Amino acid sequence: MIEFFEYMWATRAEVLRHTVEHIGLVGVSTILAVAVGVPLGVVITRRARLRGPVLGVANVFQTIPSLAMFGFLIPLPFIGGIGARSAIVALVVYALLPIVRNTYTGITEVDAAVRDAAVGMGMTDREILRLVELPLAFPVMIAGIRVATVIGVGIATIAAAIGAGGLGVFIFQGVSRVDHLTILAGAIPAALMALILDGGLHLVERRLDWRRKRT
Amino acid sequence: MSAVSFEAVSFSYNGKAVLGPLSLSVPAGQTLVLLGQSGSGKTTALRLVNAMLVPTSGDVMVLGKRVKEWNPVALRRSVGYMIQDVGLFPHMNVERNIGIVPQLLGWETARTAERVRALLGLLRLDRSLATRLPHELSGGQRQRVGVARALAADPPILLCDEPFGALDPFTRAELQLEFRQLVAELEKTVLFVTHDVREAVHLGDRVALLDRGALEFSGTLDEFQQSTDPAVSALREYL
Ligand SMILES: Nc1ncnc2c1ncn2[C@@H]1O[C@H](COP(=O)(O)OP(=O)(O)OP(=O)(O)O)[C@@H](O)[C@H]1O
Ligand SMILES: [Mg+2]
Repeated sequence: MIEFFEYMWATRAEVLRHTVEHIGLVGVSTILAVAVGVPLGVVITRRARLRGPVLGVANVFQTIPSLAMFGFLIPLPFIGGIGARSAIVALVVYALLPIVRNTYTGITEVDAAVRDAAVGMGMTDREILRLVELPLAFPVMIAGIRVATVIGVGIATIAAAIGAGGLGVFIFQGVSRVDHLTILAGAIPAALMALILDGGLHLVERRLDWRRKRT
Repeated sequence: MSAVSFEAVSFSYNGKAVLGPLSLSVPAGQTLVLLGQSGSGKTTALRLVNAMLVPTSGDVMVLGKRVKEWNPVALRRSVGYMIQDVGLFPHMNVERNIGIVPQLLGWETARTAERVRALLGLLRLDRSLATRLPHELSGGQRQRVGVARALAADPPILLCDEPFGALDPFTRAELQLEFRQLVAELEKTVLFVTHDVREAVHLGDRVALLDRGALEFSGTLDEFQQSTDPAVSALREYL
């Protein structure tokens, strides 16, 4: 234990740098995944024919082993290569399923009678989405983003294998040197990060839940 | 002049005829009560008026214009709609619920706020309720909010689908009385669906009776009271 803290203290500059890299990978990829996933989730509530293919593809993406995914991306032009860009693309791909699925579920779970009332008030489809469906679906959507973020923190450790940095750097070093202290220097901050993000987003989820708030 | 009229209107769900052919008109400023058993087509008839449903044949006229010629969104914003129980938006407080149609119509916030205040007063809802969510209200208060919301943009026509159905007899009687005074004062044209005969004679200027999608009787309240039609006299037993 003390040994571990001494090691962390001695390498604190590196720990900090890789932590920041890690947050960057997870943060950027989650934001991109939300930017792509939420509209996709909305679209498949409007176009039933796209639902199967979109959810199917997102599902298949999720089953690709992460190391293999990073490997596939290396030779690709523009989106691939060695480094953070490939890592972010891979992380976005993994984050899509929970975000798309929860957006879709959250919206379709809105009470049909409430949607009916919205139509009866003379709301356009966009107004129904903005004023009724999205606010009611928010807690479910945030829950999906939470899952995506926690998964992302874990998968981002593997991004070190293709030179994207992050806390995985310690883990790969530690594994190759059979040095558990180094492994822990990557694993423990990553685990803490997952816990903190999970807790934080849980708070956001509760704050945005209309049942708990008067707006 | 009729504010709403059905001209040989029929409606089917997937080829199964559920209404009509129905011809019926509601003079401006009057209240027509639609009576009929469950499944007789009352809700269907109402929803043909605000273009939630489209007739299979015939035409519904609203304010002198065919419903199919109206822009559905514009039509719905000029026709107040009240639904039993579920109509309020669960995530919006009382104030936002009442102000929703003015908001859709692009009223300035100050004007909407003023209108909401006036309606809270009109429906005898305490100011302190303005920031509550629907699930934090009693059933009677929710229905009052429903009435206020339907009146918010001052539509000339109101469609009411059993709005007081879930209330206890006391609250129900109180709301019926207030509702009658309110629509008379504001000169609204009202289509009011109920299967409660007492409510019908209490609120209606005219009564129409639907039976399995067909119009069994239609006339003024006096005609309803005096009709010798067996179906109508049977209903009067409930008075
Ligand atoms: N979405 C639908 N699809 C198919 N049939 C429907 C649909 N909605 C209603 N119906 C049928 O149309 C008929 C008329 O229904 P409607 O809702 O107008 O009855 P109602 O008079 O309002 O009854 P209630 O008093 O129970 O509300 C019924 O036989 C019903 O089963
Ligand atoms: Mg009905």
